[in-house]
Amino acid sequence: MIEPFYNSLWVILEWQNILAMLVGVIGGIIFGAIPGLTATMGIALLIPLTFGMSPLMALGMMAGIHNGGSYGGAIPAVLLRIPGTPGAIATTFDGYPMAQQGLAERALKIACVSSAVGGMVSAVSLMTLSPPLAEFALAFGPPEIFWISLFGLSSIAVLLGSDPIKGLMASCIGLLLGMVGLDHVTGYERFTFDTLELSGGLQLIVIMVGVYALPPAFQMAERAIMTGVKSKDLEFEGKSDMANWPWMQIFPAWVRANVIGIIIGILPGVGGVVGAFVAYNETKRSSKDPESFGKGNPVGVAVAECANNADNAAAMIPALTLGVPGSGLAALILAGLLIHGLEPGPRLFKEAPDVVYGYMWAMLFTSASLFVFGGIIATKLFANILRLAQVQLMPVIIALTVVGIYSFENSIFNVYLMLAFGLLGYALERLKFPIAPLILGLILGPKVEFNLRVALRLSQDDWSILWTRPISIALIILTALVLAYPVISALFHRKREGPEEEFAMGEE
Amino acid sequence: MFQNHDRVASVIFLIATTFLYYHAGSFPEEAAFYPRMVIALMVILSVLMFVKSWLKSGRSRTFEPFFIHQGRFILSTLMALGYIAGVQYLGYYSASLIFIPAAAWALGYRNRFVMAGTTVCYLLFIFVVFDQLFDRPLTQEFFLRH
Repeated sequence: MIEPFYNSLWVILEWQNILAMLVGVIGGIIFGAIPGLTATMGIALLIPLTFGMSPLMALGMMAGIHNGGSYGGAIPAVLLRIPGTPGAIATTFDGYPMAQQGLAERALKIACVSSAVGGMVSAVSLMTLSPPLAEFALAFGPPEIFWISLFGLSSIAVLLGSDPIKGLMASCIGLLLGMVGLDHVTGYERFTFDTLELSGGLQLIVIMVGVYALPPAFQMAERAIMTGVKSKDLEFEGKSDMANWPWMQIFPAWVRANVIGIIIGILPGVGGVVGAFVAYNETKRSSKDPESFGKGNPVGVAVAECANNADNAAAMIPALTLGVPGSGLAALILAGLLIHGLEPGPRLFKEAPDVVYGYMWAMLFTSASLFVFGGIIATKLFANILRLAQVQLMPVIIALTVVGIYSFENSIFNVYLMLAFGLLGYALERLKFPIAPLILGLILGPKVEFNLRVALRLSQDDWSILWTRPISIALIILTALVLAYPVISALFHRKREGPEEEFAMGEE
Repeated sequence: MFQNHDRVASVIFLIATTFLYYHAGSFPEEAAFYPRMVIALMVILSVLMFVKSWLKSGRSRTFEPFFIHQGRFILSTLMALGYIAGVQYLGYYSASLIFIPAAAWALGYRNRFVMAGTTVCYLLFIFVVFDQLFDRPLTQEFFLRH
């Protein structure tokens, strides 16, 4: 088990990979720091840049964006009470009051160090838990792969958004888009409507960039904000005071945040936002001074940022070993692997160990690099990104998506298609459909169909092969529980809250 | 009235999925089985979405418009469409040279110095990264053809 880690360490330490990781971290912080842009969008936009790179270099850059973006969201959360990313919402609770008390520098530093700690511990969990899980997953046959894919899809669909019906519909849209093109068994063209360009199927990158990068650009145009944040709002003074941090409270908070963040990260569909909230609430509940939370308690910032980042690498555990990502961002990284010709799953650990283990190192190193990039000069620099007018960013984002998609296959058809998916993504976003299930459906769709067909062929069309093996039975129960969760949860709330609250919930 | 958007969306989904279900019926049996299974699920989900929006319609007190600003949305979509056509016929650099400042201007931004600076920096970035570093293909400029 040690050997692949040792071998990949030397590969990841090649200067090109280090450069890619650093560019990724800086890019991620920038994307995370600008409200409206997210690390997810950053990865979608920068994936086309990675076509010319080796898979590990590309994954190193994505790891950088992932970790950098998670921290970047804390900058506007602390300075302006605007979470740069959804995961930074809990950071605003105490970060902004600290900034109001003239302690912005301290809040940002605590956020940065906590992000780095959360990311590093999470990377270690990825390194230790993934290889044995991959070993176990090698025993999976077509029925088990079929069910694990359905379980992942159901979890993301049901747990990620606020409406399970919309989540499931988004998954189905993804599954349907994954069917476009030649059916590899019969050779029949499905849903191409005699369009030659569609016979090869829809390219994942085209849909991904369309649905993730274009809707925020359209929304920037609609809001037409002409000015960035004024420079006086970004001024903060202070000196380094790490010795004066309340370490006795911060350390236990980090431990709690890491445990909660990692467990929630591994669960498919439950991302860093939930982890940060749960860890924050637990820390507040167990504190001797719960009243100070929400009023500028540095422990609140530490726990929120640590849990938010502890989810990052943990979400990649099911993604790398089973091909089922734990979060929307992990789904995007999975797509990045596929674009580079690598099939996520247990066999990847045997077929491309340098890439898989190198990626784990990249998650560790990029988290550690936050110690450097979160320094006060860098933070001041990144805070100034907020001075950019969003109306000026919109055409730049559109131009970047066009160059990325065109250069993928030299196809202007793909660019028009991307715009169409951008409009679809915009409509879905405005209607509160989660986007991650769509991407996951697209990734897992061909896998679900292939394994279902193979299982039925192996059993000579005997459907009982799908529910007679022990692992399949366990996965069926898990999938059923996930699908039944909204109903059980609604019944539970109805009993607890009575008719008045139920009405309020319905409105929400 | 957010549920009204949901109701409209569910009707659109219902029409589209019903059409696709019958379209998939023309595939060979083996190729049609899985798509029809997924589409049938989508039909059920469309109906559930419709019913849910209907049941909730009386409760909603807030109005959330579909567009943030309809005029600017249409403008930005048309500009994006024009830009892609420009990339196809004029070449990437020429189209971007026009699009980046023109789009910002059309949306009301007037700081010429920032507009020019952003455009030049962006084009330089594309030239260095896409053209020089990674040798990615871009559409040919109209003045360089022939």
